[in-house]
Amino acid sequence: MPGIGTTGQNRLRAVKVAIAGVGGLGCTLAQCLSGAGVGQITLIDDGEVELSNLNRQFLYRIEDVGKPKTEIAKQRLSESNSSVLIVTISARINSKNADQIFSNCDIIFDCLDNFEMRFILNETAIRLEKPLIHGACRGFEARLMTIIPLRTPCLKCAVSYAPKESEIPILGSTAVFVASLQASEGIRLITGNQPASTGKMLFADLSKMVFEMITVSKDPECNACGSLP
Amino acid sequence: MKVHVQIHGNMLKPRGVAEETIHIGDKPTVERLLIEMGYLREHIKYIIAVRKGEMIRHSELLSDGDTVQLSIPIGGG
Repeated sequence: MPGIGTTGQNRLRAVKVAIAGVGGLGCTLAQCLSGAGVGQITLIDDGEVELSNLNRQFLYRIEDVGKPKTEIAKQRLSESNSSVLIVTISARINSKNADQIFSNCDIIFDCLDNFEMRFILNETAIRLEKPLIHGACRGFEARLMTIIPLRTPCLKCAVSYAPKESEIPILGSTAVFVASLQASEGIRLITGNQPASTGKMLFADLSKMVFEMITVSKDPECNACGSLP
Repeated sequence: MKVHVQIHGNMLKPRGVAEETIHIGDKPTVERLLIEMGYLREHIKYIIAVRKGEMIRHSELLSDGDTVQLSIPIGGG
């Protein structure tokens, strides 16, 4: 394939990626990356499959309800591509365990469902100097941003504060849309191509088919990356 | 001074409309605009403002005729 070729495929085979959150975004993303032939995928999630997940978390089935997401996801991914090494970490990401969880990966994918952990992940990616590909959705709305520490604005430059939300309605098609974009950005990065969403955040509203790439500037007062050169 | 405002997505619309022109006077910053629109001070910090395809800070001065798009962070996954 132009832009990837044998060299790109070898790079995909050699890469280790981490997917934080194996929910609506993480399930589809893991399938895309597994299909693309990445060498190793680490899945991080402390949750169990719930009935309400099944509208968008397409690695799981009704008989999986109550079982650990990471284990079921690993089983399903291995069934479709046994050559990908799947590592599972059934833990909730926090500021104490994040460095250890992500230190061994090359790229981090943010597929989480809350900003408290997203901000921890953002700071971890900056500290470890690992690229972070952020995806988020709500209803028909979607967001995407690729962060290259020391080179581009970070998530907190774009979103300084975020309200806590207990229930976030998500349509399966919106989650698949965002996860596919995250996969595309990751594959471009791994294969030596420029990701499209660095220094920009995609604002998409699938209810109106509106797609805008919004420029994000580095915030000199950002408490995550503002003190960096 | 007139600023055209578009409110996107599921964001609260304190005046009940998604799009309108707001008249603002002195210190026409984004923060001033949001206060004029009726947003509570404790909610303002969550609001993302975009002008001409760029995110702008709440301290940014606006100009007559600007169009400002407003939205809130999205964190679901």
